[in-house]
Amino acid sequence: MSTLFKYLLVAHVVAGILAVAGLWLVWLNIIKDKVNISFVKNVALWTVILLFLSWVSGGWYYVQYYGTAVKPIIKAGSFPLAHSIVMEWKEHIFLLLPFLAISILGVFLFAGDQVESNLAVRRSATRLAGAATILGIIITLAGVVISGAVR
Amino acid sequence: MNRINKVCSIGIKITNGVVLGSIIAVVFITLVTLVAGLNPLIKTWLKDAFGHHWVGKSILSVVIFATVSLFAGFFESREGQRLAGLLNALFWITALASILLLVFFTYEALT
Repeated sequence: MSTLFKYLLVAHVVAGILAVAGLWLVWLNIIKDKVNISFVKNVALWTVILLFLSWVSGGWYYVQYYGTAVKPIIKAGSFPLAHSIVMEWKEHIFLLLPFLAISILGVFLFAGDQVESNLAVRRSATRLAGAATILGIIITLAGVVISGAVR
Repeated sequence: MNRINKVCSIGIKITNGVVLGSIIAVVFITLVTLVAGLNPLIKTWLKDAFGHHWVGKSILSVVIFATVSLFAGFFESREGQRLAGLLNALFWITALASILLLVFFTYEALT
């Protein structure tokens, strides 16, 4: 693997994990009695930036390297389903995550007052942040399974 | 006070547009993945047009999100209840899309 692809893979993993941590922080803060809108707004913004960084770096690695160098190894290995189910699912589910994060950012950026005053908005934002966090954790674990299948 | 209320309601309008854009993007990603999986012509078209089917899905989803968010922002409601409804819809559609795609790829891999 060239140095470029190593850096792209590291950027994808690190930015992705930090983004999941960001989603988790947002979730934790919404369930508090008093929501610090300014803090959550900043965390949500960084989460979106990190997700896009992970998207671009991971996408570049996936399109330019994974298909020709990694996929054949997994398919010929002892757990080929790591590609045909786990990777196929992960690469598509990952695409949903930035849109969930942007929606959460939108709520805090443009309608933060609603989170404080409207219980229905707060409940639905909490549910969405929780779902995004859990989805992010599952995607991270899927990445671990795929990495393990290469060895 | 009226001015503050107006600014707040415009914020809800923009957010409603963004969340609606996300819903449409999630639905698009799910449908195009299922259709391209079942119809090789669609997958080939995505590959020919964007270099890779995944890049095509990525770019098209961003374009669809941006377009819907921008235009929906003009027409969306200024009601907080509508925002709560849209966030709930995004939650359920994402959950359904995740399960649907998992079932689809499992079926494809095992048959």
